[in-house]
Amino acid sequence: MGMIARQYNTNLNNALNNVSEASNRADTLRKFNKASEDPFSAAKGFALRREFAENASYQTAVEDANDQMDTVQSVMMSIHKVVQDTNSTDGVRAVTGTMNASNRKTYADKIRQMQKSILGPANTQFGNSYIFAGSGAGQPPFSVGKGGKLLYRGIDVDTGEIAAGSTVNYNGAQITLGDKKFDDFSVKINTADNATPAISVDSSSKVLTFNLPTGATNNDIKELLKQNSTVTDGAITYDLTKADLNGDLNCPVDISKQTNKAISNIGMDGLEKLANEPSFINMGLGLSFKDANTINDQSVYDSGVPGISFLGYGTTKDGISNNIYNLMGQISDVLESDDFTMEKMEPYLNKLDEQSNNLLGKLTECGTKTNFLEVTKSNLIDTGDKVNKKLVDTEYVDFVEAFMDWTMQKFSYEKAVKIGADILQPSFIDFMK
Amino acid sequence: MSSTFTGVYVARSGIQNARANLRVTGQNITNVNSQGYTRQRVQSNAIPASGINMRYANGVPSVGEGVEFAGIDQIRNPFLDVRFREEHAKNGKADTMLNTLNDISNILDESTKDGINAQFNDLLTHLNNLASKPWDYNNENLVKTSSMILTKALNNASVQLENIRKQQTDTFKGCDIPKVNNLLKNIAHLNQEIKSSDISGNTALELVDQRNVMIDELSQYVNIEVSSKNVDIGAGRRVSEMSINLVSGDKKFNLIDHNQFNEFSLDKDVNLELKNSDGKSVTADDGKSTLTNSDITQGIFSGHLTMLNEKGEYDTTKGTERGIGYYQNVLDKFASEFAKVMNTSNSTNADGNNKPLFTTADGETTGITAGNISISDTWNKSTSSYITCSKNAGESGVDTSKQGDNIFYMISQLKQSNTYKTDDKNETGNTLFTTSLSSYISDVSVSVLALQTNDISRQNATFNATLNEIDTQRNSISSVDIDEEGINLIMFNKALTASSRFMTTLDEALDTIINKMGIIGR
Repeated sequence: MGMIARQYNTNLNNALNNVSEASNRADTLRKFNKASEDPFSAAKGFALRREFAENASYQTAVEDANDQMDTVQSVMMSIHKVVQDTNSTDGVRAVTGTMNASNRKTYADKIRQMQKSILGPANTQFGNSYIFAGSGAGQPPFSVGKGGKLLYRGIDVDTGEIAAGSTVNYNGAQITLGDKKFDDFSVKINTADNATPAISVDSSSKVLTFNLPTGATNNDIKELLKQNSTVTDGAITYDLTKADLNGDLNCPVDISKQTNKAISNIGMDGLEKLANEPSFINMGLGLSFKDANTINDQSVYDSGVPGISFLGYGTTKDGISNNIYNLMGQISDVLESDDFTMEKMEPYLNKLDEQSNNLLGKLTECGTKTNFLEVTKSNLIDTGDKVNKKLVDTEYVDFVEAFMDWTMQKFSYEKAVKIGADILQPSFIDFMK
Repeated sequence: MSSTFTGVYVARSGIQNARANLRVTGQNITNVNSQGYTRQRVQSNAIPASGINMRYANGVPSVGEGVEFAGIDQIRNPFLDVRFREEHAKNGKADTMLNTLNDISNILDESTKDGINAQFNDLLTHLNNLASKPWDYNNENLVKTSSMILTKALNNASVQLENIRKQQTDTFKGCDIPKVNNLLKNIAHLNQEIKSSDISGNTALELVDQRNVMIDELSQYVNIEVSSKNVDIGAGRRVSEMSINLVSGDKKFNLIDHNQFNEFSLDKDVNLELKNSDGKSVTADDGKSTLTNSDITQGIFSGHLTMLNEKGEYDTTKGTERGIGYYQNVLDKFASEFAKVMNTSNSTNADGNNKPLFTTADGETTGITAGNISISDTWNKSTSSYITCSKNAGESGVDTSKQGDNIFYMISQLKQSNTYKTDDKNETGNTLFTTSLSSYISDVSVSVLALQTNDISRQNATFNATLNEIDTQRNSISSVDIDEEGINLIMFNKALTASSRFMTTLDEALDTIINKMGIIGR
């Protein structure tokens, strides 16, 4: 008797449990609410979730890059138009050998105006970044230095001269020293507990020494430079009024021996590096590293378009600038000069043709990049959809199935309850007289 | 020749026997729902013919002299009891372990809610953003906030794991051990009463039932073995004394010896101790070993001890279960490895520690655990970019510090697969698993925890089913069947009626002999 009752009770409880679980599944439509209910589906599910999240972030990156590239292209086209106008019969092509000085001056002024109209677009912003500034996108890249020459990130685009003066690379930052006498100097940092910050210089060994307290960062060097307007070594005085430090301000100072020497001119090599500076974006192309500091460029996307890559840099050996802005300036100078001849103009005009084509070439490159971005975007969307579908299949149940299951369980339970009354009631006692 | 009134005695014994049977049947029926009640039966023996004359042949047949009431028995299969108690112990252990694992699952399982894993994915998204636009300080702020939330999530998880440990220790110490000690005391007490009852000739079956119920309950807590021995109480009579031992391998620790009992206690390092009434540790039957945690192999106690003390791969002995300690260590390892990768990537010196992103709450870069990981103070307070965006030395002349390749390096390190071992350097020690930091937590919660929980829960279901089986079998033998008792009622009623008829028949026969013989000629 007790045995039957107990068994019946257990079975009824099991049936009720099943009803509850089925109802839960029908409510949430999830296959499992805890990973332990179905570890294999859970493992698959989590991996898919990660993939989906990554895919979403790549899609955002691609869209951003695409939008920025649109802006890049439209600005480049407008600059190209300016160059074309300059190069047209409205501009330099209208000049003949027989024009008089005042006519030439008119054209010279016109060209100078067009020259100015390049500067604004070259400093276009997209979102918070200056699109033609490479990695220095927090600051407008182009400015005009002395003599009306174009500066790209403070560097003369023709000669490679640093406008701010002598600069040395140190510890992830650039120390601008200013005074040209600092060329070829290296810096040394000493730290000691509770030291008073001080600068000293040794002109014979060409070392600029900073004494700082322990735990100093690059920011402390910056402060120290700002506080001192000169530093002397015996008779020689060095001017520090333009001295500054830019870069990683929070980096702790490096007291090891420094081999970098201060320079005032980065030369053509430096300009070339700047023109080819990459700006990488992770788009799910399989980010990988050759070693700790070298990224594998096939595994990321380069969205950078440094301004001087299409505006040109450097000069020919005759001094004709490759840079369109400077070139236009030079052409205006020639036009305004007293000993003007068409022969003198010719090399400049040839150069203008050449650089105009170069700009067009770069524009086409950007078009190719846009195509790549579009293809990548549609691939990512496709992949994203597939991952999502797999995720839903792994973690969720079909509503109809869940509802049917719940109905079945409810039915079994109700039947079990009904039968129970029949099992438990009659016994022999009921039939005794 | 038998005596005149022998028949009456026979009839009387029959009536008394039938009445006893009816009373026992009534007892069974009224106790049909009592817990642990075993149905009783009267033992009746036929009394053989007495006074066999060895000297002379009798010439008359010897007839038995009625029925003798030999005693009342319980119908019980002791083998099923042994089996039940074994299964009960296994069930107790699996159940306890499952409870703890479910609690840990609530912390680490992210099937239906967002936790550490989701937060980590969030951090990766922000890092990707920062890597594409390192000059935008807002992006670094987003990374900083996301990192802060991640550290808080880790702190929280660590606290909750510690809470689970504390709660389990408290339950063990405050509920389960006193309960067991109480059971031991009560069983010992009952032993005394049952023996006294036995001595006075009364088998005290109800007390035995009570004791069985208590032993069943005790079996859920530790792996026990019940034994009894017969002792001589004089006058050629023997009664049995029961003792309970805790068996571990070939060692036996005595828990109850008739009316003496020992008590369990827990010291502060969660080691179980067995002490006798003088407070001295109890030694096993080999005379020298005292009780250690490894002697408890089944039961709720074992479940508690496993979860509280065993650490899976982190233990030096092989084959231990992964308890709370394992998960705490594994979570701490995640915090420490994550901080190491981030700090080394961000720092610019050879030791990889001069520009840390994550430190302990005191600012140290070593000894980071899930409980104390936090954003480094310098990073928290800095108002300009602190994450090292590029470690390429760069040329003199232009500030190229914002190139972002170092951040990509951080991301690729976080997604790189490593083999993690139990020691800090991942060189010696037992292998834990091979995974990347970005999938570490979900791997632990699914490949380790979920599988373990699934396994234990299946074991638990199996043990439960077996336990139910055995219990049902037990009940089928020992529990009262109303139908059978009803039939018995009719049977014994008839027996009573028959014996009474016999009595009246004898009465008439005697009446004939006494009152109707030898009255001729009056």
